[in-house]
Amino acid sequence: MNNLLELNHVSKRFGGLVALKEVSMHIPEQAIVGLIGPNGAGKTTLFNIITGLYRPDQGELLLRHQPLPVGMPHKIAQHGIARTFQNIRLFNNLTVLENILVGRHMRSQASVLGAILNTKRTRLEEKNIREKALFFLNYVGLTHRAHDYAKVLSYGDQRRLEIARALATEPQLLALDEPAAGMNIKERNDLALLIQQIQQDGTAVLVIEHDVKWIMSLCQHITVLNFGEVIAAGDPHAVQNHPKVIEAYLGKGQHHAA
Amino acid sequence: MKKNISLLVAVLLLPWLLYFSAGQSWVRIIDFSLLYLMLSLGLNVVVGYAGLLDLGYIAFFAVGAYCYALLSSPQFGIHWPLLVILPIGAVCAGLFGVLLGAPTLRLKGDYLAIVTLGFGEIIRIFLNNLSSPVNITNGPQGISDIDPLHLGSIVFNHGLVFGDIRIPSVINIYYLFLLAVIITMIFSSRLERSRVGRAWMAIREDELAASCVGIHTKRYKLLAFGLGATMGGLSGGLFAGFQGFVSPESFTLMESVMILCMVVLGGMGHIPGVIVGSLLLSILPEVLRETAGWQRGLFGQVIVDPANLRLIMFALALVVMMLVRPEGLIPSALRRKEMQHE
Amino acid sequence: MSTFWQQVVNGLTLGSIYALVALGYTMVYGIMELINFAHGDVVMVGALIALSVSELLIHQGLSLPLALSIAIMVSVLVCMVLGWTIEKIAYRPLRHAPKLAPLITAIGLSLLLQQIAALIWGKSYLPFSHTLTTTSWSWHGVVISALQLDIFGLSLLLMFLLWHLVHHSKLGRAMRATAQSVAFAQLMGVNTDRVISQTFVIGSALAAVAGVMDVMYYAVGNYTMGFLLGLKAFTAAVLGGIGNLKGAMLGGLLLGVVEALGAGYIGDITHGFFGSNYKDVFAFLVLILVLIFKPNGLLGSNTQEKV
Ligand SMILES: Nc1ncnc2c1ncn2[C@@H]1O[C@H](COP(=O)(O)OP(=O)(O)OP(=O)(O)O)[C@@H](O)[C@H]1O
Ligand SMILES: [Mg+2]
Repeated sequence: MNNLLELNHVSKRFGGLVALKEVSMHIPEQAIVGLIGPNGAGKTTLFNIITGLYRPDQGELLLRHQPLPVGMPHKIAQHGIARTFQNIRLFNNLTVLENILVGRHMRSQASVLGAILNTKRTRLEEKNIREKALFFLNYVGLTHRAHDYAKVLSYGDQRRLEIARALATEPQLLALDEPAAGMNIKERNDLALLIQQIQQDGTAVLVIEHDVKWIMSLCQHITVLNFGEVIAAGDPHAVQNHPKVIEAYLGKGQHHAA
Repeated sequence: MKKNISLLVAVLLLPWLLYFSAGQSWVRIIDFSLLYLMLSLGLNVVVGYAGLLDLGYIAFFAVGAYCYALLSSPQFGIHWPLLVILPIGAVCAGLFGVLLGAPTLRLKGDYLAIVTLGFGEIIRIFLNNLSSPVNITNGPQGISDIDPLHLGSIVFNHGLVFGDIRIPSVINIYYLFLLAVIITMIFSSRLERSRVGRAWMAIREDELAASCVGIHTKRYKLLAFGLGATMGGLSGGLFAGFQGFVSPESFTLMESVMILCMVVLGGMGHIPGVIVGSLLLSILPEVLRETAGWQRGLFGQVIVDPANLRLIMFALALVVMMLVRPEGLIPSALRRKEMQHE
Repeated sequence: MSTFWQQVVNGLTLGSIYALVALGYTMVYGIMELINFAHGDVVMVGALIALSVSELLIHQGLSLPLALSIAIMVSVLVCMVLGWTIEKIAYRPLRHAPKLAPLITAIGLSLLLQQIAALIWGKSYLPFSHTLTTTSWSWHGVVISALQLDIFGLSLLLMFLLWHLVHHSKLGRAMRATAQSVAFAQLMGVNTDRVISQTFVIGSALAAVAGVMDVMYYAVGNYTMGFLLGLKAFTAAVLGGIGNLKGAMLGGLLLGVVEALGAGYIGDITHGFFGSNYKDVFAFLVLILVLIFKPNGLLGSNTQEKV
């Protein structure tokens, strides 16, 4: 299969701390790829580099063999990469529907002039934006909350809304930073189904998650980070039995116990 | 629809009612409060929609006013028509907005506030001092004998006579300003509900998340500065033509602060709140002018300097209103309810 | 060259007053992220009280130094009470309100304090008629008066004490914890309400001293004097990196010097096109330039926002 996104030797330091060291990985088209690793391993940092929030100190990022613009989040979004955040970042004082409408921003054109003259084109576009937004609302099952403020939603619903907002940009790659955190078993299962649905609809997904079992059953491919380095990558089974992974998760000397 | 028409009729009749009941000075006060409303609508774009705390907003009002004053007064002997100078003033102010906004794009919250405040003060100091060696602004004395607001032979600052009906000048002006306010209001409400408005609000709520859904945050912030300033400039031009006189004294930090209060007090980010806030705060000080009379009524004599008392009561009102309704007098939650029932 | 050093001396004097006021802004901001717009007016109240009390005592026959010392104490006390009251009635109820709400009450309070002061002291400029000292030293044409030394020395002393308080006392530790995170400090058993109150009280005490110094230095006071002084001090706090104590001190001194030098030299630099009436432009120009290149101020940390 062709690679959608490729990272080659990406490094990132914060002062003296090496958060990422020569990280190389790739995400095939339409795959679900898992990114795991202990706390502080550098998973979120990698997301931040992919989505342009941080500039890498070195290394390159290729989207379908074309270099990605670095350090420009809005450009990267326009290249088809959307994300959610580990500590949910919604537009809290906007309604659920409005949050998704914002997600349609780059799929629409209306300018100031179009807006204040309320031209026919703007009105048509606005109608289209709303229809699409309702579609994505329904997609994640939040239609009944459309007119509530984002901030009053339950934790799980907020996560879903964040996913819907990202999906509304119609990305090629959806990057989810610990989407299952704080969810109960039922919610986790629903989320896994949603992610599989997203993949079937043609979008590749990159997921960070601590629950190894959950992610193993979801992903075709897993990359493991530890102290900023890739220590293992491959299909779930191979990764699970990789000695370095066992060591990283259980500590030295616990080899056999695992 | 019926509600809207009766509202319109009321708004059209208001100056006449005031004129015959309270007298022409009250209509004049309402004229000024319409200018304040326009300014508040402009600042609302910057603070209310885009969430950029601007404490130097009055500078754009000043730019618009001085543009009008310089291009239509004996200062340089230029007397261009209204329909030319108003847009020039608005565009100049807009350019200033973009120009001053550009270096501040990386700044957050209160840093932005203090820098905009600094820009506002700088512009005022320049207006105050650009009288030598080349006399441009005429310094603290300001510019007087500014041409009245006029379209062809219709001079709004003078009374108009249609057959038997004589429309007093303050009412002419009222209708002119009302028109300007309504246009500004339509523009801003359309912006509010458009893709552009949503991009602003997304930036206000979470700039970083906004950039991750593809919003070019810097461009939209500049746009907010520019558009807000344009509205300020437009109302500045009207102000200059109405007063016939401008001086730096009208453009102090206190004025910027006052307009900010108008925007926040009513409930920022949506138009009904801004209307209530700006009308209330521009009319309240005038009502409080009566404090001398109240004191005589209560104590038979004036005990406290009425000018002081007026400002004390105004300040108290500001504090108390904010303590009682921190979300603004008309919080936007109300608007949400309305939207659901649409 | 002597003009240069003379302006530096004048600037440092002025700057140490700015720094004291800036500390009040920065402490409150560091803990509550609130621009205490009324802080400049607390300075004004301190100044006018000291002015009245010392005039009164001297009239009663007390010696100048004694009268002044009592006046300073009275004005510090009054301002502490004032600071405490302001926080209690105008800011505390709004702790969880939208961010701009306390800014508006602050503006209201500022106006309120000014108008009440105008009622008490009138609107005209009040002279401080007693020359404090005529002692001064001259060195290569640079003149330093005893008053300037006193102002500078006392400011340094107070800054040192504050520094010590914040870094080596229990209250200081609680303050720093609260500044990090109110919720977290509460979890650790800190009574954050009290800490915030105390921060206001300390800031107001410094403001009172600064007010007294200002009135002595310029020998005049007025109900509007807090406005520009407060504005410049706030500018100084931002310049240094708001929320940062060292930043406020550095910013204050720097702003004073820049302003003095700017006023002294602008005429020469621009060949008389701009005069010293542009001196206030300098404060803001420096601020804007610094923030454009260092958006978090001179000593503010420039770390990347953690996502
Ligand atoms: N903006 C930043 N400034 C300084 N250090 C940072 C910054 N962002 C991340 N770090 C550091 O880089 C390291 C990696 O952090 P990162 O958030 O990427 O870990 P993570 O794998 O996502 O961990 P977790 O599972 O806890 O979310 C950590 O030590 C963190 O403290
Ligand atoms: Mg993380």
